[in-house]
Amino acid sequence: MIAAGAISFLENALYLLRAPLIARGDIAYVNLVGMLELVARTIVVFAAFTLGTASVARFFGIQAAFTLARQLAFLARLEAGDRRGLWRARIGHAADAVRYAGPVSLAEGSTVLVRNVPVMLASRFLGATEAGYVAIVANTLQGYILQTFLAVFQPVAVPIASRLRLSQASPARLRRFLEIESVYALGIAMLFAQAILWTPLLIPLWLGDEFEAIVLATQIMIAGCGIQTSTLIRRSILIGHGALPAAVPIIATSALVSTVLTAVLVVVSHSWLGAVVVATGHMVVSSSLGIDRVFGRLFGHAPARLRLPHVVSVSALFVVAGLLGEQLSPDTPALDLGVGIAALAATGLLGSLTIISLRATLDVFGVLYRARGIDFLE
Amino acid sequence: MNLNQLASGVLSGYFSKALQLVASLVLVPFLLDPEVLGVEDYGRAFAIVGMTGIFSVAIVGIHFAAERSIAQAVGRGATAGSIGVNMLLGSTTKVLSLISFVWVGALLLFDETALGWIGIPPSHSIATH
Repeated sequence: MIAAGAISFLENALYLLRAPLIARGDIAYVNLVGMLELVARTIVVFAAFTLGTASVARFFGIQAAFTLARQLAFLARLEAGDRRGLWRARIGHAADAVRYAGPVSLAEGSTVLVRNVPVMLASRFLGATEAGYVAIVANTLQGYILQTFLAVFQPVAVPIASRLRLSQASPARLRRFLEIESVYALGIAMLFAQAILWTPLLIPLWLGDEFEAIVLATQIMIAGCGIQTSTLIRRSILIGHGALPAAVPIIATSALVSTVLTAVLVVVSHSWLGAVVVATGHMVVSSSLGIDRVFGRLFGHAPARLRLPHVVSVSALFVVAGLLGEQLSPDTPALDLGVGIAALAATGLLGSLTIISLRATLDVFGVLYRARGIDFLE
Repeated sequence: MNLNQLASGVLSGYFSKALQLVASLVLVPFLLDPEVLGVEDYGRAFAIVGMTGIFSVAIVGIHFAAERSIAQAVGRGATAGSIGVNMLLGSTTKVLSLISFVWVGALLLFDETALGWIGIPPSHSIATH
């Protein structure tokens, strides 16, 4: 418990040490430190658990040591001016951040709630094995998938979004931005569709046949992550424009309903799969009724041949991928490859109808290629 | 921020995450091996992580809002009358430390009760420090 508490303290209390580095564009250093930490930590875990006894306490202890080292590396990199008088700063200077934090906490904190509650309830009411299944799907895999996109794009997107003034942009520039955003959404939808397609083969290959029980839950979770990730730029723009509070009531309500339903499903129905499905449902509802609706009301949408709600367009691609994924078999690799290519073509075609056309996509790539900076949007 | 910084940030970020993916591809099956932690202790570990980290529901907004304020402070530079990056960083870190300390301290003080909430008996080996 001490090591787990230390990790939580170090991650949360010292979270902002990297913020000035990212704001100054020193993102490569932040990522380098993260990479070095990861490699060293993995080696130490392997060595410690191969040579000695494995325990959760030792695992947490190793993680805590590396978390501290990472935060110290960020502190050392700060400019002298950023460190000067750091410890003498009056708490009153944080007033603005704390004032704005309420609505953002409700929106972003809902993700923390929905991700952490299922495994705690499963551990309490179902048992350690079920908690393990929930942990693999809703924590490990979901964490990796979301972090892959959030940790890479969000630190870049939020500072940029805070500078972009879409509300003052000309109609032509706003339209160009919406097209870029739609190309991003199409790319994300096709990428996640491929992940859903290959999950029935990859999970048993990765963890062993005894983990086939988590395949469906993993596919459902990936779909939710895909929908949430596809609205990431919209979310960042809303945060950057201080417009997120408009989406908060829906997001917070969805998180509360999801948490209550998770508790009901775990306690009454003893269903860990149901808990994962409900947690995914929150991602879908908060992205569509929360982020998407507010963004569309403020800035509109890029034109598509077939205008559907964003969540419906993206989900359609995932359903196609899921159905095709049922045809895969580890015994027929050539056929699997064909199914994979067919899925790529089918989802691309569907996306060009409902998200953004192929011609507009090529046009956007041309503009981005010719651009020398992001100033063309400012 | 220019396009080069943006591109290097995104590319190094993806490289970093690709590395993380490779590490987890190896590490997770290792940890799930019954000879190492096994699926049960893996589940218990995440239940503990969930409990110690759930208070971040209350402070994740401060993370975002402060990041935004710091980015804007960096963008405008040191202008007369504006609050510097050091003041924003120092003050917000104090607030975050205080909240984190209260929650984590309370959990450590009543650790047996807290572990009971997530179905882990105090006598279990992972509950020992």
